[in-house]
Amino acid sequence: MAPSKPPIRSHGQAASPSGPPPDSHAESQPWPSLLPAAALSPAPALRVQKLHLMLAQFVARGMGYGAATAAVLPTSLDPAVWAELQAMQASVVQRLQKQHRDWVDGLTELAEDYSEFRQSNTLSKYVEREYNLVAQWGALLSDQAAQTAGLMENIQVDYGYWLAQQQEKRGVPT
Amino acid sequence: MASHAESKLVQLGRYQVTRGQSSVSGLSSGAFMTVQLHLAHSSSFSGAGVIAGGPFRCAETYRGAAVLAADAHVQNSLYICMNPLVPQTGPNAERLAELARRTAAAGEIDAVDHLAGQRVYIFTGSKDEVVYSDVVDRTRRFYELLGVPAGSIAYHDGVPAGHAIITDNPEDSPLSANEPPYINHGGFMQSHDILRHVYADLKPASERLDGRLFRFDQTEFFGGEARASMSEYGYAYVPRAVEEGAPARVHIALHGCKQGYNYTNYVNGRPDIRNVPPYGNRYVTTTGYNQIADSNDIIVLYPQAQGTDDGQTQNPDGCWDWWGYTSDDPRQPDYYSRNAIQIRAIHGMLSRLGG
Repeated sequence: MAPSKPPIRSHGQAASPSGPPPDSHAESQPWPSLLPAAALSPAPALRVQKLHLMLAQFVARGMGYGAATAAVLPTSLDPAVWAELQAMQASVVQRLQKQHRDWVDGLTELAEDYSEFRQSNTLSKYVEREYNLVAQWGALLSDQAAQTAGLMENIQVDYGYWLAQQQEKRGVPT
Repeated sequence: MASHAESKLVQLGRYQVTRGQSSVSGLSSGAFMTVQLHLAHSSSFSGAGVIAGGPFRCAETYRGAAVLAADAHVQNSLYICMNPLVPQTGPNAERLAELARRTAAAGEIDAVDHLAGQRVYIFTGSKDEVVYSDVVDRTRRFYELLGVPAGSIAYHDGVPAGHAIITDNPEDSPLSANEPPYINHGGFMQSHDILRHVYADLKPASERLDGRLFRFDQTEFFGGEARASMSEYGYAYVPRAVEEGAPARVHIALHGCKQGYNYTNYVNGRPDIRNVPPYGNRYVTTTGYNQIADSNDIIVLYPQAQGTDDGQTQNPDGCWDWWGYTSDDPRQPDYYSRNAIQIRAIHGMLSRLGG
């Protein structure tokens, strides 16, 4: 993360000035029980394995939270619980708005760069200038994709943590 | 004698350091590490300064976040300990204080009783978009629960600062910035405020340094192990009077991510070694620690972390470990304990100095 620009601290894409890389998902040890063939697999296969694991986890979390939500919310008469849920929704909206602003700002900068013809005295410089626009577009897309994935994960983790706390308060086994 | 960085490498030496009077401060990952180091060796310290840092073992808050322990710790760090959606999904100070007590009872860190008489400075900028103020507020509560009196905690949350250590250097970033090098201009030297709070009786900072800033070989303190993610060199500032035998105290200043002297940005997954950021050891030379230390016989120790991003260690930004990347077994991380490789190394440096 944090390629050429600082990690846009868009709320969703938490990143690293202070902490771990958001794209870091590897254990610092192999996982003998979960991925027995890890040491023997080539890197592309490991990537597929990891993607599969992350996606499966994403889906499973969502389903698990659905069940937990059904167990907790319909019976809750505590207005504080609903207020907290609303606050979470508001926070997500706020982060989406920030992400949208980043997107618009990025597009505006790109459009400005494209509309401005900068002199090139050599073919190599010309190629470099043209490629810069492509690279900037790619970086913008990549940043947006990473922010979206980060926000989705943020919502899932926080909601799961919040639900676990609610269940604990109600004595529901987690 | 004017202060100057020695061109040669020196070995960290021993001075007349008063034991139990050392202190530690840090920004961001350095602040998380400050809390860890402070708790792990609370008998060695008399106070701490936390700029934008969360409470002890925060990364272990919610194990249910992911199947794999290492994933869960990273996700906790990002989404609970840095950017919680709402305060209720931030770290739980009560639980973490209890966890700290249990960790002490297990002998992994010093007894928490040592904290009772200590002084702690805690700061969160109201424009910080990296570690939210909700999190830092829990750090204050965490210390209170462990016996630090409210009157001994200086808590600041009203300055419209971004994620940074604040200085009065005109060339530093605007106060509200949340960008590298995370050194922002706010019209005051935060390092001075930290040390003045921890040691109440300080003289004004020196305008001209009279001591010696030198680099030393850090590798002897972590055995050169790659998993430590620490740089080859560390820095120390020793006031002239201390060199000549005056009693001294030690302050450990921990930089944040992307602030180590050899930090290299990763672009598309590769270290951009042809465009190393120009700020190098600015954290060591421009944040004001040396000036206030110079006039008060305080040695400033600047351990350095470095980026590593391979199959084993996931730390591209050169952060201090507060989520377990250095641990042998992610299911039983030890990054917070006296046995953690980084904590062992830093405390080894402190011991070498005599603290």
